[in-house]
Amino acid sequence: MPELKDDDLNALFRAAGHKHVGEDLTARIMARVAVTPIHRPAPTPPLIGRRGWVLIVSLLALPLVIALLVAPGASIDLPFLSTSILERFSELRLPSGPWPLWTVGLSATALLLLLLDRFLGSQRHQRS
Amino acid sequence: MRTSVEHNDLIQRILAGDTHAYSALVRHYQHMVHTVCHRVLRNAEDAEEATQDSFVKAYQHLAGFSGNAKFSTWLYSIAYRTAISHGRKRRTDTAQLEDMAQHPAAEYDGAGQRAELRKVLDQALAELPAEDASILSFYHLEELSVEEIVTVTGLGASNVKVKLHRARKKLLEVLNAQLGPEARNLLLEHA
Repeated sequence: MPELKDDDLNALFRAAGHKHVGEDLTARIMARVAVTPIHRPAPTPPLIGRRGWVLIVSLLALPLVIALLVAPGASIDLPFLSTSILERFSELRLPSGPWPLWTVGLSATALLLLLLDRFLGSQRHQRS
Repeated sequence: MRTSVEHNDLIQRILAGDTHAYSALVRHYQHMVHTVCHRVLRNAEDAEEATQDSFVKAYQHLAGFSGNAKFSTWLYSIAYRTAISHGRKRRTDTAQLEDMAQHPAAEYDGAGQRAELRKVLDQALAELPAEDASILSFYHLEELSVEEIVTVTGLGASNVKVKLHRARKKLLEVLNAQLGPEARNLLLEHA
């Protein structure tokens, strides 16, 4: 006695096809759609934008670079900076310590904040 | 079958204000969306209402369709959840289920073998839980992959695989028990 098998189900489903829909279903849907507005979530800019990040990084990096350049023993001339500023920087002394670790820590914190910022932005986007 | 490029083009037109372009998507997907809703709700009237609601919801949130997934998967997901939600609101009573099982072809205007096959399949699927019947339709009729069914239903991959296996087994048992040898032969010939 022939029995239906797994392989026959595909053919059976396809042969039976979809459920029949009313002839005017499209029209009824379109009538409702016509009076339905599309939700357009307002684009939410990140809490700190690209320019903000560039500014923050510049403000942090510039004094550090200058301090390194004017450190005692450095022979690089910085003519665009006035003598008084150079003297101020030359007086700066970087404390000894695990600086690479601090750098990694600060970078990781900055990255974490950036990811948090994007996550909050996307959550707000989904809610709206 | 429309390609995803054509769909994306239609979606862009709709988002640009061409509401009429949405009718092309409705016409293309209404049969499957209605089938999914019917498998869950097992009542023609509720299924049609859920179908309408699904398309309206999809239209409302079209701007949120990212294009990462296929439009069909996204739409079926909305349809499936909408049908589930309708089902919770209106608990389908036993009388309706029995009525459908006894007269499954009553709502079809199709004639001949195709209508007969639908009738047989409907009767067998009515013996399965609604969720299993929907998963079988996604897999065998729309040929969605397990991963796509996971996206649509929100179930875990292993859960979908187990449900598919059990539902297929149960469906075959029902079909083989309900149908006599002649009917099975006829079914195999036309399937």
